[in-house]
Amino acid sequence: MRYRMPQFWPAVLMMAFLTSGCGSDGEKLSGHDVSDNPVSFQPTDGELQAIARQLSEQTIADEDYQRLLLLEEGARLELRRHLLQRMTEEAIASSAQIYAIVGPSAGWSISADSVNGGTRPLAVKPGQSIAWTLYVEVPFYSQRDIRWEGEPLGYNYDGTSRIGGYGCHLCCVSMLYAKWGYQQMTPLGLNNWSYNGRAHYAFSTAGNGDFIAMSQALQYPSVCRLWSYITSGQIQAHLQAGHPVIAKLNRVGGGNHFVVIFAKQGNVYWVKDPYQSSANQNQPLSLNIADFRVYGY
Amino acid sequence: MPHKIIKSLLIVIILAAFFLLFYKTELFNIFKTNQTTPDLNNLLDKKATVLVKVRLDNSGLQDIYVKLDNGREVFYGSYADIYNGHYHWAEYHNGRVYFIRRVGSLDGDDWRDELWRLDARGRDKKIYSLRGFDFRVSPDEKFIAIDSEEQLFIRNQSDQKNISFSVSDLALDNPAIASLVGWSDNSQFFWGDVHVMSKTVNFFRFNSVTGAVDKFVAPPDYYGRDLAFNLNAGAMVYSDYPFFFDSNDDEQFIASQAIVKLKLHDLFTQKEIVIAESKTKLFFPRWINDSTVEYNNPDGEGRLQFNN
Repeated sequence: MRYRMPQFWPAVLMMAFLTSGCGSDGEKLSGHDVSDNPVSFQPTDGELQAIARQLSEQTIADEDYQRLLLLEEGARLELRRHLLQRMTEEAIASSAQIYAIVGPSAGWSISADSVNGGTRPLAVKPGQSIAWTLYVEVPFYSQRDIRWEGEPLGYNYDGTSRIGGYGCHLCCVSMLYAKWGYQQMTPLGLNNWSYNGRAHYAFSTAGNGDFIAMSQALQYPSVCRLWSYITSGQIQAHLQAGHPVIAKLNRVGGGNHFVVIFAKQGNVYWVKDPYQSSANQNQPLSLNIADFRVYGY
Repeated sequence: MPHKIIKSLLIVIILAAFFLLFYKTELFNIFKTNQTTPDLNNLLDKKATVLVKVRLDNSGLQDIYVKLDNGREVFYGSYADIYNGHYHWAEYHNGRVYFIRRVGSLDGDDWRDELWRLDARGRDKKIYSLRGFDFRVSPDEKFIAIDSEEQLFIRNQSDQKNISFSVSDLALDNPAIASLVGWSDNSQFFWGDVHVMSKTVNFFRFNSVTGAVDKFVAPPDYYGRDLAFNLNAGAMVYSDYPFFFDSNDDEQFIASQAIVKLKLHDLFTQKEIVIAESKTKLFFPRWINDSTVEYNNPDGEGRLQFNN
């Protein structure tokens, strides 16, 4: 039997959000939806196929599109898979609207030299003032701050991961919370945030229990904030709009590292690097970058 | 008159004997703490777990208990500032508990962390005070390895002297950061690791008898995840499951159905064998003894064993 495309999926989306509290009925705060009972959006596979069709045909309604930015991570991946059946990788990358939801493919990366316009940054002495071309104020948190470096990261089931070693992404999200005025959401506060009857709410319970769960980590105090992927070409516009940009770096020898892009000097982007101490927090963007993201804007 | 003196002396001796008997057998603690009486013979040389329980009496105190192999919990003491938020806040050795207290408020600038030793009689002693540290006590309690923001050092408990290390003493590459792993059962060797960001680049071993430090390259596909370290044999069982920082990356990895290998790696010879394979599943390996490792069954429920 031939699969019949459900014509009612926008209504399904609407119902899902109305019932979850993440929908448009919530109180608006800084352009973000607010909810007391946020539940992530998890459409069925059939609905994802329909969404992929609407996206590729550019017929999706604005209101429905905004809700896609709240998709759970697994659903984003499924949506990417359905989109790749309809369009090429290059076509996804060239459409900012689609790329914002599904991001780059696994294994993709771009060199910092390329993002920095081929400019190799000069060494800057600690304390030396820099003439910024663009600058966004972002408070800094170090993952190696002695107040929390020894704390277990999330659920930390196997007892090995702690903020000092693996808390870079946690600190990046905390820096944004500090920028938004939530001083209590330090890396320690966000790590231990209990919500909806769950300890370590910002973390997924999968694996070792130490993965940041994006849709949950951005909900404090009960706000369903959007997050999206951006291309390297969109970084400047976001900085101009006052939005810090999160970059996921591929470090030499394997593994990732997260930093916050907050400024530009000439062609070179600068980051707040949570692996560094406060004295060395500002570093030029380096290494290869796996993806760029904007949280909460 | 001499009879009265002899009688008085006898009474004093009997009272002293009773006191010593009560003190020795810990019955004294019943009156002092109204808690379970510890049986010291059961506490010695046993592997045990240190627990902390929050009191419900609004005193703000937390109780430290030691849970023995047989499941029995023995009360040790009560404190208001136990830092059990630390990933490695306590150790148990030979009937004594070593634990961290965080004294003062983080809001102010006068806080500090303190390492304390506590025995089953409630006798405690501050060992060290520092802001933000990690520690490992040798099984014979003669040495304590401490890793602080400033440096990593081994403290000799007998003379209170520290053997300090610079990163270049321990690392094969700079810049890097060293951290603690643990002591061999005979207390001769202390193991630590050196990492750049989240990637472990080498391990080091300190010989407490000779003072020598040896360095060993870490496997290139070890990402700090899914590790069981044999501190006596210098062998590690680890999986090449990547370390992810958000569930998005983990979901992608799981969707890829990539093969994850559980490996036994000899740090001395750098020889390696594959013990098991899974499709994107963690193994949670654990050494049962120096030659046997158990791990999660990659194809179903339960645990499997591997004998080296």
